Amino acid sequence: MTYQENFPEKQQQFAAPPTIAEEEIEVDESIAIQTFGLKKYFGRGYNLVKAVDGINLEVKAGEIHGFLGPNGAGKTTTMLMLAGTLRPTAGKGFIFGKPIGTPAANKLLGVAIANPQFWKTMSAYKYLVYMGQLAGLRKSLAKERAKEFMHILEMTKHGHRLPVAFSTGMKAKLAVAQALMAHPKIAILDESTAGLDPESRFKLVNTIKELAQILNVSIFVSGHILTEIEKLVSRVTIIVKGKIGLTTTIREMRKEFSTGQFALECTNPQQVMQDLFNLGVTSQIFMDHNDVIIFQSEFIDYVYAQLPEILRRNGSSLMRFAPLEVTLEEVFINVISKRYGADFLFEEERLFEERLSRKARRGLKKWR
Amino acid sequence: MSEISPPIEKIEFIPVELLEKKKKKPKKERRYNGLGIIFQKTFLELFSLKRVIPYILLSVIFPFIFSAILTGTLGNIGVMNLDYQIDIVVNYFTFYAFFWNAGILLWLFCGLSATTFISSEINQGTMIFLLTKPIRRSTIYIGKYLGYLVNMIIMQFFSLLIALTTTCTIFRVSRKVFATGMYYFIPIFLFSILIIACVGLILGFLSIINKRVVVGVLVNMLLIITIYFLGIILRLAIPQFYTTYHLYLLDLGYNLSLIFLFFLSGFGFQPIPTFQKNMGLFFGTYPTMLGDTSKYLDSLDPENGITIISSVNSYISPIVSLIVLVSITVFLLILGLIILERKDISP
Repeated sequence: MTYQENFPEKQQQFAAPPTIAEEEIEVDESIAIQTFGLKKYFGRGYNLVKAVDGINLEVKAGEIHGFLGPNGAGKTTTMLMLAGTLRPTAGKGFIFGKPIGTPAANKLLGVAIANPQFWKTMSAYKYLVYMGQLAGLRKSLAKERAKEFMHILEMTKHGHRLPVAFSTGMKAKLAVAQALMAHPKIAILDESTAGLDPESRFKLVNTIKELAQILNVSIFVSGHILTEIEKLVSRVTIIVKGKIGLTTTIREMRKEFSTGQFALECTNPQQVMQDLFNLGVTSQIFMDHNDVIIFQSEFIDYVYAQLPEILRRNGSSLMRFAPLEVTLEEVFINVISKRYGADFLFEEERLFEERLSRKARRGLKKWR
Repeated sequence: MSEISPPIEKIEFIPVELLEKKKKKPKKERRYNGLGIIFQKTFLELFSLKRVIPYILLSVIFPFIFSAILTGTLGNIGVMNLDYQIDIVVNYFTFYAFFWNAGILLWLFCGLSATTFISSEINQGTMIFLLTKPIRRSTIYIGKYLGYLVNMIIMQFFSLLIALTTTCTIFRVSRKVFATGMYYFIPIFLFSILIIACVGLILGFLSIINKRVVVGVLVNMLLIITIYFLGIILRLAIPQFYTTYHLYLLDLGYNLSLIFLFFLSGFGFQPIPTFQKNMGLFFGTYPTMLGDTSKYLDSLDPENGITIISSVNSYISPIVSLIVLVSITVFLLILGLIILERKDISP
C-alpha cells in the first residue's frame, strides 16, 4: 500500500489549493472588503499550516465589522493579507473593487496592528506627519491632521516624545491615529486595544466609534475582549481554524442564539423563586451571583400574568423582568463548540501533549 | 421691391485673455509614489553625527599616518621640483585612496548602511507600516537606496577632499600640487561612486533575503578580506596556478584595481614605481616586484620624475571587469525587487 492510500486525509491536506474560476468572482466597488476563497498556507509537507483556508468575506461600506476567532484562527493573517503585507497562497481579495496588496487598494486603507513598533529617532508628531505623507497627504495637510489627531486622542502634550518610550495605551492610540490620518475609506484594526487597561480601552473604543461616524470610515476590527467588540460592531464574522464559522448582525445573532431564558430582578428573590417554581411551568430556574432569578418557560404569558400576584404575596417589588440577552461571548463559544466540538478551545493544549508523547515514543524507539 | 439683406454672420466675441485661459489644460494631479519621502527620511537618518564623525575621523587617520611616515622617509618634499612633488603626492594619495578611503573604509560604511535597508525595518517591526501605505515595495527599496547613495556620495566627497588636504598639508607642498591633486580627485571620486552604487545593491540584496543584520555585516567583512588581502595570499602561495587556472577571474581585488586604473588612465595618470610596486604586491595589477626592488626605486630621479613605467597585468580587459561588476549588481537589484514583491512580512 502506498503512503497516499494509507493516509488519504494527508494527501488531501497536501494537495495544491484549488483555484477559483474567474467567472465566480463578481467584484462590487461599493463593498468595502470582498474576498473570494482567500487562502494562506505556511510551510510545506508535515509543517504545512493552513492559516486561512478559503474564506469568502464581505464587509459593507460604512459598517463596523467585527472579526473574531480563537488564537491561531487566522484573524491576523487575513487582516495582513488585506493590508498587503502577506501575499495570499490562493484566492482574491478586493478593497472597494481594487485588488488587495496594490497601492490603489492601500490608498483606501488605514491599518493599525497590535503591539505596534516605531522608529527610534522619530517623535510622535513627526511620525504622524511622516505616515500622513506616505499615505499621500501634502506636508502641510499632514501636519494639520497630525495636530488634529493628537488633540482628539489627548496626546498633544506628548507630541515631542519618542513613541518607543510610550506606554502600551499611547502606542495603540498612535497606531490608530496613523491609520486614520489620511481619512481612509476603510480602517483595519487588528487587536488595537490589546494590552490596555479597561479605562484606556473604553476610551479608545469610544473614540474609534466616534471617528468612524465623523469620517464615515468602514471599520474591520478584531479583538479578544468580546464585550467591547459587541458595543462597537454592527456585524460580526467568526473565524475558526482558518474557515468562516458565522457571519451575522448583532441583532440577528441575539435572535438566533437566544436561549429562551428570562431574567427577573426583584426584592425578596428567594421566596419569589420558590413561588415561580411552584407554578410548574418554569424549568432550569436558578439565582445568579447578583441575586437575579434566571429561568426558562414555554408558557411565558402565564408567568407574566401570575407575576404581579407572586410579587404582591411576597411583599416584593419588581426591578427588572426581561428576556436574557445572549452575549457575543456565548455565541462565540456556542459556534465553536457546535462546529468543532466542545474541546476545540483546548485543542492547542491537546496538540501540544500529542506532540510531546510522539517525541517521547520516538525517543523510546531510538533507545531500543 | 423688397430689400434683401445679406445674412448676418454671427461673430462670437471672446476676449484674448479668456482664449488663453481656455487653451490652458487643467493642472494634472501630482502623481504620488512616496519615493521622495522615503528618500528624504533615509538620507537624513544616515546623516547622524554617530555616523559622520567616525567616518571623517577615519578618513583622516590613514592619510595622516601614511603621509607622516613618508615625510620621515622622503624628507622635505616641498623643496623638490614641482613635477616630483606632484608625482609623489598624486601617486601616494591615489594608492591609499584606493586602499582606504575608496576601499576598506568605504566598503565598511557602505556595508553598514546597506545591510539595514530592509532587514532593520523588518526587525524593528516598522516595515509593516510602510507596506500598508499606498507605495510599491520596489519604491520603498529604491527610495532607501537612493537616500543611501546620495548620502554616501556626499560623505565620500568630503572624505577624499580631507584626505588630499591632509596629504598636501603634511608634505608641505605648493598649492599647484593640490590643484593637480584635485584633477586626479575626479577619477577617484567616480570610482568611489561606482563602489558605493555596487556595494549598496549587493548588500541591499542581502538585507532583502536575510533578516539578520549580522549576516550582512559578516558577508561585508568577508568581501573586504577577499578583495584586499586574499589576492596576496593567492599570488604568493600558488603563483603557478594563478594564471594557469585563471584564478585572477576570482581575484576581486585584481579586478577592482583594474577598473580603478582604467578610470585613472582616462585622466592621463602616470604611476611611479612605488605605486606600481604597492599595487602589484596587494592586487597583482602590475608585475609583482617582490624581493630586491632597489633597481626600480633607484630609477626614480628626483629631478626628472618618472623613468620606468611597467605595463599593467592585463589578464582581462578592465571593461570586461566593469561590465561583469555592473551586470552582477543590476541582476541582484532585479532579483531583490522580485523577492521583495513576493515576500511575506508579518509583525
